[in-house]
Amino acid sequence: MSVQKTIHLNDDAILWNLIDPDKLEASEKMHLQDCKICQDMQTSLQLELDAFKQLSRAFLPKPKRNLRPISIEKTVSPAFFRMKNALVYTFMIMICVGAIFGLWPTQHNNIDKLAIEQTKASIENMLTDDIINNGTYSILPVTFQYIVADEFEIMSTPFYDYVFPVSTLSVDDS
Amino acid sequence: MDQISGWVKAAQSGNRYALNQLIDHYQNDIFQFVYYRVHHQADAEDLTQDIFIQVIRRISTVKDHKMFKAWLYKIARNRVIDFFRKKRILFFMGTTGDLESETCESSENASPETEMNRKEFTMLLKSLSKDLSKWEREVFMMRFIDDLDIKDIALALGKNENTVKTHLFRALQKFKKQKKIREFLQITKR
Repeated sequence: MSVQKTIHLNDDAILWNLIDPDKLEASEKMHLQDCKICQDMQTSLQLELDAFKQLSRAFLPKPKRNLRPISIEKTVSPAFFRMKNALVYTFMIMICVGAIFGLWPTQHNNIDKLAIEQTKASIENMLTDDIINNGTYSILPVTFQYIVADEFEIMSTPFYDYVFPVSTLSVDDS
Repeated sequence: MDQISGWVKAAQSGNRYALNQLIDHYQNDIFQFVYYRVHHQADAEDLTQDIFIQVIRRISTVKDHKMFKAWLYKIARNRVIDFFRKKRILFFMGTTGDLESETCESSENASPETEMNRKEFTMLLKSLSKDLSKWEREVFMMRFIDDLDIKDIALALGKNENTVKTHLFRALQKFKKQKKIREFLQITKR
């Protein structure tokens, strides 16, 4: 009988052999191959663990209902039909409808109003500038005013003298 | 490519038949995983359904088809943790009775002897669980109840394989010291 057979594997070595046989040293492996006592110890533990596995399976109660998710069709359906996305699409459609029937005419109105106001302001500026600076009144744009042969000068016309007589002015000034 | 990987790939491309095959293949395993952690049949059934709903939603994120099993158990474990977290909050708020479920439903068709053995097994399992640390318990149950290999356990728990082996070794040391459960296993296996 060799010395190797008389020194049996300890509990830890047997446990390690169950978990990871590569952890055992070569001498321990050789001993385990030959030693009936160590083999029995390991087999006994292995059988207990196998029984543990079998019993846990055997004592498992049977499910009372089908465990496959009920809403499987819904969960794999296209994302478009999901509630969250549907709300987003509805919101987008509402914005588009609003833009077509509400926002578009409003923009037009604003542009029209702005154009009218700007035109009025420019005409007023043009008239007042001409009256103040040149004493002329003309509705024509500046470029065309010089083409006209007879300028209407409000300050030097007889009509002006008639409305505001020189004598009256001189009396007021004095 | 093995069958499971084929189903996973097909399910990712929208094949409903493959998805159903995957669910049917794993539903009992996942139910068992959940049941031996929550010890309540109705809760286990609800959680199993929740787990598969998450699987359906996230199956497109599985990159390595061979790692599907580990990925599935990871989802299952996270869902069970969530369940206990919610239960703990409800317990502290006073809206639930017990933190640990003591319910042990009886099977309809089981004989009285089987029923008695089942109750004793559940009791011994709970006793063993109390002796083990959190990680030892998790690794031991995954290895010897759920029948996962070391690699899958490491992936599911996000731990190193050597760490898993060390936890398993310590768990087995404690299991060996549990005479009651070992005697029970020796009697019932005869």
